[in-house]
Amino acid sequence: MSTPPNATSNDPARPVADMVQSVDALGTNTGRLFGRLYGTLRRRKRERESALQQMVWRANQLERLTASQATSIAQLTGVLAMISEGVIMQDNEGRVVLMNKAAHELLGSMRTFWDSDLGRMFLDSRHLVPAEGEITLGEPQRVEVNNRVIGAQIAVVRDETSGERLGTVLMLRDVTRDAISDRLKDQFVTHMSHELRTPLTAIKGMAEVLLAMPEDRPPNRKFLEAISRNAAILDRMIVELLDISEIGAGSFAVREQEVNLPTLVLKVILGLRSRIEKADLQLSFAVANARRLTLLGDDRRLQWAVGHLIDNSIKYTEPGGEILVQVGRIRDGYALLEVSDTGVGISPRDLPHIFERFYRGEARTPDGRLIDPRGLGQGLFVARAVAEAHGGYLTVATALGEGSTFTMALPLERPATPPVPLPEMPAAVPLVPAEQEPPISSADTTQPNRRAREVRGERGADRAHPLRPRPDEV
Amino acid sequence: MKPWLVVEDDDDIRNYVKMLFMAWGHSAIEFRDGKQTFAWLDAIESGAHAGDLPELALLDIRMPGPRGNEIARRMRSIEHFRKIPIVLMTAFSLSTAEKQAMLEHDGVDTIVNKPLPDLSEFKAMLDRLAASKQTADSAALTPPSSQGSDAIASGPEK
Repeated sequence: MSTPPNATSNDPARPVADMVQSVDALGTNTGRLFGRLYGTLRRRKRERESALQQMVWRANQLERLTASQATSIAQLTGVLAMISEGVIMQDNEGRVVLMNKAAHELLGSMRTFWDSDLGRMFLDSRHLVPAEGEITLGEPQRVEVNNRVIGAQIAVVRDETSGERLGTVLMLRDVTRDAISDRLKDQFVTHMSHELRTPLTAIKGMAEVLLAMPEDRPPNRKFLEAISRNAAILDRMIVELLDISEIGAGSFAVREQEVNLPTLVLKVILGLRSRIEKADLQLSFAVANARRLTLLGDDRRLQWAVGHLIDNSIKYTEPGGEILVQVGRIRDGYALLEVSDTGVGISPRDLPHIFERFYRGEARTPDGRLIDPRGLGQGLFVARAVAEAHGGYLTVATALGEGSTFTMALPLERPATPPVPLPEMPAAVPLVPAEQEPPISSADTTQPNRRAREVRGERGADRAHPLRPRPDEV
Repeated sequence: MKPWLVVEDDDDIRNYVKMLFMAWGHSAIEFRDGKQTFAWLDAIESGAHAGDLPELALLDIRMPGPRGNEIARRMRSIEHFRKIPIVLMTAFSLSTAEKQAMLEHDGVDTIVNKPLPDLSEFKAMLDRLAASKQTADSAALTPPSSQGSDAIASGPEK
C-alpha cells in the first residue's frame, strides 16, 4: 500500500459519512461474497435441470466458475483483512461470518460488541428489510467502545437473485480524533466569543463614557489607558490566531533579533505581577550562566511563549502555591527555561493532548473542583511552536496533584535551518517527590518511562492533527 | 445613595461599571469573584455584616469560583435580597435553555450581553427594573430616579 492506513483515518476531510462510499464500493462485492459464503454454509438447493446435456454443460461451467470464485473470495478476504476500516459480517441470527483484523483491534472481542451500542445497532437493523439492490444502508452513528469513539454504519445485504436477506455488514472506523477535534471546534467558538467580547466591553464602555464628558474636559487618563490595554489584548489575540494558522500551514517564521533571555523573562514576569499577586502565588526567579544567555530570536514571540508558560502555572496552581522560573541551565547546547509549579498537575487523560491547538484539559483540584480558566487553549500549542521555530523544543513533566514543570530549550547557536530531528530525550517525565530528588533534575533523566513515550508518540501524531492540514496535503 | 452591587472578575469592566453606578448616584459595592461574594453573604447571614446592603445586583456569570447565577440563587435565599433586581451579564452566547434555567431557577430578573448596552439604554433598563421591583414590593411608592442619562457628565471623577 502506498499510503499508511493512518493517513486516511486521521484525515479531517473524510468524516464518518465517507464510509458510505467505502460501503458502496464494497457493496457489490460484499453481496456476492455473502452469497458465496452463505452458499457454502447452507446446502444450496439447485434447480433441477431436465436435460442431461444441460446438466453436464452446467457442471463444467460451475466447476470453472467455482474455481475463479474461490480466488476472488480469497482476494476479497485479503482486501478486507488489509483495510483500516473494521468490517464485521453477520448472518441474520448475529453469528459472525467474517470479522477482519481492524475490527478485532477496535473491539477486542465479540463480547465487547454485544455489550456496546454496536450490538444494539445490529438488533435495530433487524426490521430493515432489504429493498432494491444488494445492500441497504443504515444511518452512520458514533459509538463509544473501549474508550474510543467509533464511527459505525450498518448495511443489510440481500442476495441479488433470490432477494433473500443474507445478513449485515458493519463498517467501523476509529474517529476518536475527529470527535476530539469537533469538541475543540465547539469549545473554541464559545471561548473565542468570550475572549473577544470581554476586552470589547471595556473599550466600548469607556469610550462611551469619555464621549459623554464635556468637550472642554481633558479625558480621564485611566480610561484611556484601559482602552489602550484592552485594544492591545485584542491585537495580540489576532496576531496569535494568525500565527496559529501559519503554524498549521507550516509557514510560521520568527525574526532573528538579539535577545537576552533573563531580561526577556523578567519583563514577562513583571507584566504578570499583579495577576500572580491576585492569585495569591509566590513566584521565584533564578538565573544561571547569565553571560551566555544572549541568543538570536523573536523577542515578541518568545515573550508570549514564556508568558503562556507562566500564565499556565498561574491558572492551574491553587492559592498559596509556588511558581519557580529558572533560566540558564545548559544542556547539549540548549539554554533551558524551566517553569515549575506546585499546581494541580496534568491528568494522564489530558497529558497526550495538552500541546494540541485549542485543547483545554479538564483540570481538577485535589478535592475534585473543576478548574475552568479563561482562554482559548492555544497557549501551550503556541509556546511549543515558538520553541520549535527557534530550533528548540518544549517538554513537560507532571505529577497529578503535585505540579508540573515545563522546560523550553532554545539553541545557544542558532543553526541556519532548524534541525528536524529532536535530540533524544524524554518529552515528559513524571515529577518525583521533592524529598527523593529535586524536580529540576528529574527532567534530566535519560530513561524515558512509559508516559514519556506516550507524549513523544503524540508529538508525531499531533502533526497529523485533524484541525491542521498535513504538510503533504497542502 | 442606595448602593448597587457589582461582581466581575475583569478589573477594567468592574471599574467601568462601578464608575457608572457612582455617576448614576449610587455607591458601589464590588467583588472580584464568587468566592469573595460568598464570604460577604456568609457575613450577612450570620449577622456579622454591618454595612449597607445593595438595592440592585449586577453579576458576571463566568468567574473563578461560584458563578453569577449561583450567587443570584444564594442571594434569593436571604430575606433582604428576595425582592431586589438581580441582573446577570455575560460575554458568552447562552442558549435559550440556559437562560431559561437562570431566570426560572436562580431568581435572575434579566440577563444582558457584553459588550454592555449603550449608557442611556443601560441606565434606563436598570432604573426600570428597580422601579418595577419597588412597585411590586410596596404600595408606598417612592418617586423613580429622575436623573437623566447625561448625569454621567457630572458624575464624580475617579
